[in-house]
Amino acid sequence: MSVEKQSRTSIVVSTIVRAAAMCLGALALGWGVTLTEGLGASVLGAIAGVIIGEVAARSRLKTGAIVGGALAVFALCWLTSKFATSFELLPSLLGPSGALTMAVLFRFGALIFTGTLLLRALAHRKQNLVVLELAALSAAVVAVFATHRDGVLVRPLWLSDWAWSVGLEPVQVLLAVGVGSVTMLALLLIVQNRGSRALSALVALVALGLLAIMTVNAVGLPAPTAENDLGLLTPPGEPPRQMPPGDGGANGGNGEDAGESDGGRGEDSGDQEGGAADAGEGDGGGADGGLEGGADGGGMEAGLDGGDGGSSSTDGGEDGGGSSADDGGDGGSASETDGESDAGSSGFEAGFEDVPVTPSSASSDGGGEGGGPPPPRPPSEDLENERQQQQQQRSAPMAVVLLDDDYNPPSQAFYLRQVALSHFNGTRLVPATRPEADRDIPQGYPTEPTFTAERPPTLGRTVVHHTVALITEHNNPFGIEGMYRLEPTRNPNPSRFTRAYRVDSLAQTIEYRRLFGRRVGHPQWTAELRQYYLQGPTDPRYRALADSIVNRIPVARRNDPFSRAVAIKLWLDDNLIYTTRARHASAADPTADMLWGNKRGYCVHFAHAAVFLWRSVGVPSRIGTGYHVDAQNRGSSSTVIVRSGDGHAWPEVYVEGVGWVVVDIAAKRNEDPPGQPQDEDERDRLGQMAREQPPDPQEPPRRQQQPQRNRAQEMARAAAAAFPWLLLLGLLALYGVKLWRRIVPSFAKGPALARVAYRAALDVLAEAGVVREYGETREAFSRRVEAEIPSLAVLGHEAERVKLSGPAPGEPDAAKLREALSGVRREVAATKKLWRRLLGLAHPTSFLDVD
Amino acid sequence: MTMDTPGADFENSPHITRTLAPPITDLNGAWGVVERFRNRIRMAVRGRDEVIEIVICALLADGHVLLEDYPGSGKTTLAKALGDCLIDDKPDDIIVTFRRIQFTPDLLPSDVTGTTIFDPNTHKFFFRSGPVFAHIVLADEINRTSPKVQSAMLEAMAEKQVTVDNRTRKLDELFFVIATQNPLDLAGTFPLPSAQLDRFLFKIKMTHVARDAELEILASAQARKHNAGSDLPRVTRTEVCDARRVIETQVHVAPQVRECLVDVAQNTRKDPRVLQGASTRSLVLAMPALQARALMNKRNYVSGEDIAALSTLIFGHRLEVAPGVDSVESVLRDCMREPLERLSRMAMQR
Repeated sequence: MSVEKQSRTSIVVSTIVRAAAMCLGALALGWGVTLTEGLGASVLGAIAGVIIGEVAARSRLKTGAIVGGALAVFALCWLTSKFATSFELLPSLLGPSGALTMAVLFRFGALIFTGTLLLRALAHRKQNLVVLELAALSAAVVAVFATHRDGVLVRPLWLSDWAWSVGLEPVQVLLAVGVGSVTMLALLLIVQNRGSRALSALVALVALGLLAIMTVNAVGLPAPTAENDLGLLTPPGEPPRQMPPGDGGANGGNGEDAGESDGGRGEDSGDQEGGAADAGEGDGGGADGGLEGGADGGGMEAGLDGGDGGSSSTDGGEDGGGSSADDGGDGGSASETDGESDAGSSGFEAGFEDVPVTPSSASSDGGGEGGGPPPPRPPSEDLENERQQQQQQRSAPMAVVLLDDDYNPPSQAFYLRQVALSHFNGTRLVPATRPEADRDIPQGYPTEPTFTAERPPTLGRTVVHHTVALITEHNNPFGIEGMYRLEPTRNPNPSRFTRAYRVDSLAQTIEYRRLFGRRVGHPQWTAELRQYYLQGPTDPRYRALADSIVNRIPVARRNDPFSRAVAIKLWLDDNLIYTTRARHASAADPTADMLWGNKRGYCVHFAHAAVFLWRSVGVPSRIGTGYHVDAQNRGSSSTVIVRSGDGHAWPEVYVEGVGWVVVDIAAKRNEDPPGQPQDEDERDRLGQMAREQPPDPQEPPRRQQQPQRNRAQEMARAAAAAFPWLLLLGLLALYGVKLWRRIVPSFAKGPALARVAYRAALDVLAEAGVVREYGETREAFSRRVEAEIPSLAVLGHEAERVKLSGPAPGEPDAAKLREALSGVRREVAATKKLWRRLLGLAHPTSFLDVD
Repeated sequence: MTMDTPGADFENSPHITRTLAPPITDLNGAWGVVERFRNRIRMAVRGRDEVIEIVICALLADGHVLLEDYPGSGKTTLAKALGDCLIDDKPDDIIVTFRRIQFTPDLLPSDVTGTTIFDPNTHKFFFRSGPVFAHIVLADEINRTSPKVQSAMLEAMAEKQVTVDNRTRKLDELFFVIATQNPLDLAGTFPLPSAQLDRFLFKIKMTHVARDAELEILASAQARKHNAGSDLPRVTRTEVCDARRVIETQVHVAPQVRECLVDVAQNTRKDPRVLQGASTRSLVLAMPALQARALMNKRNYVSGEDIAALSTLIFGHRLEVAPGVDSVESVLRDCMREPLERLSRMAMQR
C-alpha cells in the first residue's frame, strides 16, 4: 500500500476534501429535518468524524475497537440527548428551549459524527469499503432531490424558487447539481486511489453519469401531474402547495382533454384560490350548453373594459369620421339621462350577474388590465371570498401569443376573440343557436389544420400568423379577431403550457373613419339571419334612446348605419362610468338598470347596452368575448402575454365587405384605480418559453426567432439520441481491443512476439484478477505467481530480454513462447475460479490493468 | 595478532585446472566459474545460500563485502571456504590465496600491510609482506581496531596497493576483502567512518540460520571436518579475473536500466527521511555488481530485478537516515518503487 509514501500534504488535502464532502452530505441530510443548531452540530460532527476516523485508522487500534468506541460515543450522546428532554434537571437548569437545543446538538452531532467516523475508518482500513463512503454521500445528495422525482420540476422548492428568481431553468440547475456531485465523487475516488485503475473507474463513472442524463433526455421528463401549478399563477415566494391527488380530480371529466388535466387540478384548487381552473373544468362543459354562467360560455369572464384601447379607437373614429358623430354624441349626452328605472324586463337569470361579479371583484385597475378569473368558471357560491382571492391573481398569465407578423391594430389593442354572443334569449345575448350564424367562430380546438366555416373578407384586413400557447386550459381557442385558420402545434413546454396552436387571422387594418358610409350586414344574409342579428329587448326605451342619439347627428349621416353605431358608441363613452364595483344583479334587466340607473358598469354591461341600442336602430351587431390586450404592452417584442385581467367583452358591428368590426365602448370616466405596468421581464421569459421549440416541426418557421437556441437544442437532442449507440460502439471497440490482444500472439513475428505473448498472458491473468503491483519488477511478479502459473516466468523473461539485452537481442523462440502462453492459459483455467474468469472476460477494460 | 596460514600448498593439488581449462572468453565460461564457486562453498557453508550468492557476486564485481552478524554464524567459515576455492596460479609472487586478519585494538598498520626488516645475514632491509598481500583477505571484527589500522586497510581496498616506507607495492588484481563486524558488543569499538564504509560494495546483514539448515549443519558437521567437497573443481585466480572482464563487457546494461539506477539514487537524495543520499561512486561500483548478478541469474542483460535485489545491499550502508526513521530498507523500497515501475513498463512498450 502506498500509505507510507503519501506525503503529509496529500493526507491533509484529501482529508479536507473528504471533510468538505461529508459536511455537504450532512447538510443535505439535515436540511429538512433539523434546526440551525442541528445543522451546525452536523457539520462539526462530520468534520470531527472524518479527522478522528482518519487518525484512528492510522493508529494501531484494532478495527473492532474503533467501531466499538464510535458506537459507544454515539450511545453516550444519544442518551445525553434523551436525558436532556426526558428529565427535569436540564430543562430546569437551561430552560426548556436550551434543553431542546442541547438535545438536538447531541443527537445530530453524534449521529453524523459516528457515521462519518465509521465510514472513514473502515474505508481506510479496507480499501473496498470506500464504496460505502461514496454511497453515503450519493445517498445524501439523492435524498435532497428525491422530491424532484416524477418530473416535478419545482421541487425542491427552495432551489426552483431561487432558480426562477434569477432567471434560470430549474432543470439546468438540477443537472448542474448532479454534475457537481459526480465531479465530487470522482475527486474523492482519485484522492482515494491513484493509477490507471482509478482512471478506469473514473471513465466508468462518467459514462454512467452521461447514461443517466441521456436517459432523461431520450425518455423525456415524466409528464407533470400539475398542469398550471407552475408557480406562475401564484405570488412569487409562495410555492404551490401539494394536495392529495384526486382531490380535485373528480371534476376532471371535461371532454377534450380530460386526461391531461386531471390530477393537477386538485393541486391548484388548494392553492390558487378560486379554484379557478378546477371547478371550472367540471362545469365548463355544462356552461357551454346551458350557459347558466352567462357570458362565459367560452370560458371568457367579463373583465374590465380596456379603457385605453377603447378610447383610442374612438379617437380614430372621431378624427376621420367627421364632426357630426362627435357632435351628436356630445349633444346626446346631456339629454339622455332620462332613463327611468324600467319595468323589470323579465327573468334575468341570476347567472347574468354572477359572471360579471367575478371579474369586477378582481379588477382594481382601470386601464388595459382588468380583473378576470381564469376562463371556465361556474357560478360561484362564495362571491366575497372569490373577490379577494382574485384580486391577487388578476395579472396571472393565461396564455402567450407569439406574433409571426408585425401587426399594429388600428384600435391600438389586440382583440383576441374566443366566442361571439349573438342570440338574444329574451334577457341577454348568448352564443349563437343557429348554425348559419357566427360561422367565423371556430368550433373547438383543431386536431389538424382547420379553416373556419366562414372566412372574413380580405378588404381592410391583413393576414396575421401567430401562435397561442395556453397556460391554463380554455374551452375554446382564441386568437386575434378575424381567425380563419387554426392548426395544432407542438406544445413547446408541456410543464408550462397546456397546449399550443397556430392561428392565421385576417385582422383589421382599415381605419375606423374609412368605414363610414359603408353598409352593414352581409348581402348574402337571409332576411331571417339579418333579423337574428337585430333581435333585441322589447323594452321601447332602447329604441327611444337610440333614436334620440341618432337624431343629433347631421342629417346627411343619419342614415349611415356605421355613423349611427359610432354616435351611439360615443354617447355611451361619454355617459357611462366604468367601475368594476357596479352591481345590477338585483335588477330584473341589468342592462336597463345600468343605462337608466346609475350608469355605472363594466364591459359586459357596456357591450350589452351598445348592442341593444345598435340593434334597435338596425345595425346588425353582436358581442365578442375574449381578451383585450393593450398594444402598448407588447412593446417592441413579438410576445403578447394574455392575463386573467385582460378578459373582456366588446360589441361588434358587421360592416359589409369588412366583416365583424370591433367598436368598443371606452367610458371616459373611470372609477377604478389605474393598473400596474406590465412586467417586461416576465413577458420576455414567458415568450422565451413558448418559443423553445419551433412552433411547427413540419414547416420551417416563418421567422428564425431563436435560431441558435433551436439549433443547440437540436444538437443536444441528436447527441442524446446518439449516445447509447456511441456507448455501445465504445464498448465494442473495447472488446475489439481485448480480442486483438488475445489473438495477436498467434501470428506476431520477431522480437515483438515476446512482448505480445507476454501481454496476452498478463491479460489472461488480469481477467482472473492477478495483476502486477506498482513497483513490482516483472521477475518478482513471476515469482509471486510461480506456484500457480509457472509458465509466466518464461514469457516475462523473454519480453524483458528482448528489451534489455542490447541492440541485437536475437529472435525469441516462437514455439517456446506460444507453448508458454497456452501453458499460462491452462494454468489460469486450472487454478482460478470459473466465475472469476468469466467476470474478467466480460470486463471491457480489464486490459487497462496490464501495464 | 593472529595469522592463519593455509597449511597446504595448493599448487600441488590434483584439482589444478590451470592447464586443463580453456581460458574464459564468454559468458558461458564465466557461468562455469560461478558454478564452481557455488558448488564448493555450498558444500562448506550450509543454509547460507543467499549470502554465498552475494559474496560471489561481490567477488565477480571486484568489490569488497562487509558482513555484519552475530558470532558463530559462519562468517569465517564462509570466508575460508571462498579462499579454499581459489587456486593461486601465479605462485611466483609474494601474494598468497587467503589470509585472515583478526583486528584487535592494539593492532598496528604494519601488522596489516607488512614492514621492512633488517636481515643481518645480508645486511639489507627487505620487505616482509603483511596479510593484505593475499587474494582473499578476511578482516575479522574490523571495527575493533583503531582508525589508524582501519585507514591502512583503506588504501589497500580502494587502490589495491600498499605503501610501506614510502614505497608503493601493488596488490593482486583479484584482491577481495571480506570484513566482518559484530552488531552487538560495541563497547571499545571504533565504528567505521562512512568514508570507509563506502569502500565496501555490499554490507550484508546475516540472519540466523533456519531450523532445517541448522539441523543439516549438525548432521554434516562430521563430513565437513574431513574436507567434504574438496574434490569439487576449484577456480584459478586468472579465471576469476577473466570472468570479471567478460562480465563487464558482455553483460548488457540497457540505458533504461542505467536511468533506473540513477533515478533510485536521485530519489534517495530527495527523500526527506534521508540526510545523506547515495553517492555517485556507489553507482559506479553498482554497475559491475548488477552485471555479475545478471550473469549469476543466467542473463546476459541487467534487469530491474537486479536493481531491486542489490539496492539495499549497495546503498543500505551508504545512506544516512534522519533520526527516528527505523529502517533504511523501507526508505529504499519507497525510493525504488517509481523507477522500477517505469523500467517494468518499458518492457511492454514497443
